[in-house]
Amino acid sequence: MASRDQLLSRLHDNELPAAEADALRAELSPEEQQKLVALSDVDAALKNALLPTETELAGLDLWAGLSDKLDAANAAPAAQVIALESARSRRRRSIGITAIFSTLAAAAGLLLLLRAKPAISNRCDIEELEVAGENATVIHIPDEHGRETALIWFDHQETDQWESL
Amino acid sequence: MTAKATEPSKQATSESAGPASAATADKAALRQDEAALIERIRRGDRAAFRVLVDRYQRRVYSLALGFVRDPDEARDISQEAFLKVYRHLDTFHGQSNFYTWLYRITVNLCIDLRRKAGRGNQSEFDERIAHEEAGSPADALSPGRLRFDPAKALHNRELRERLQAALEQLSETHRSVLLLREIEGLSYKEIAEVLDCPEGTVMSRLFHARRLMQQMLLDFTEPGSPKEAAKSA
Repeated sequence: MASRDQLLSRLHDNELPAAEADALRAELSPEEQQKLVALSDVDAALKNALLPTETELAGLDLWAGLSDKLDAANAAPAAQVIALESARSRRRRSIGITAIFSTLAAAAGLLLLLRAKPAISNRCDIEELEVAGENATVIHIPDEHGRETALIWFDHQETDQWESL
Repeated sequence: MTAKATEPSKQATSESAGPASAATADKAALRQDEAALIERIRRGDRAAFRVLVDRYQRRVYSLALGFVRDPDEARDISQEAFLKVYRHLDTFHGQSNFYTWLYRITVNLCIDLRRKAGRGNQSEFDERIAHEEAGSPADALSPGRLRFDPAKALHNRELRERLQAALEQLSETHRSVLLLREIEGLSYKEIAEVLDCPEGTVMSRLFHARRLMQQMLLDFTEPGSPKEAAKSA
């Protein structure tokens, strides 16, 4: 239910039905009459403080700027219209792409598993020698044609080096 | 341009009210005229749009200025509001008045700008007044009159600054209601249309907004008024 002061506020705003407004005016106390005057004071102060003056409004012309913006909008190249796919066809295409990538991933995994491993020879002969006071390691590596490659590793003057024979 | 670029008549006040039927007829004629203009704009008639801009630019600018207090920002918001109107005219079906639609766009732009600028509302105040009971001492209007002539508020810097500070204390919803009433002179029904809320809410918000304004302006009220006496006690 509206308070008495809310009724005063509606009366001040001319928002009460005529009969109700007349009845209220007839029974206003001196304090209520003063409240109405006080409301008018604040309203008038607000209007006078907030409303732009005639001088401020005199130069107002929004059309010039608006017209430019409308021209710019019209001059912009028309956007290319692309027909939107239906949700169903988008879903179907997405499922197809997923299936293709899954298949490719599975094939790649299988290929890695079945890939031929490089043949590793374990038929090397390795012997340690002492030559001219220095250590040497001789490694005999046979190949598939029955030939043999020998590698000799010398340890001298704290420098390691390979010599192929 | 064939349409007349006049501003719609403001809400009738007790001082200037004419016969209610004449005001209703004026509004009906305005609505019909604007419906025709809108139809022309939809068909690409830019001159018709200019008529609407010329008709409403001062009021839209004043409303925006009331919110943002910066002439440049108010001008930008006004232009943006009209651009939105032009771009979205197809969504306006004429169920409400054109100007209430335009004001709604303007108010929303103002609120958006204030929020982006960190000048958002104080929800605490909303909460507080929402819980105040009607009839409690805090719910009473002040009978204290201003010590200054309100007509000179524009030239009284101190009072002007206090009024603006008081407005800043209001939530966006309360400020919107107060500005639509005081600057645009809209009726409760029209404000309800702009803010898309019931008329009862408009009445309540307006009442509370004014009450807060009175509280903020206590220093400017006449000594000896009941409110002042309560304050000094």
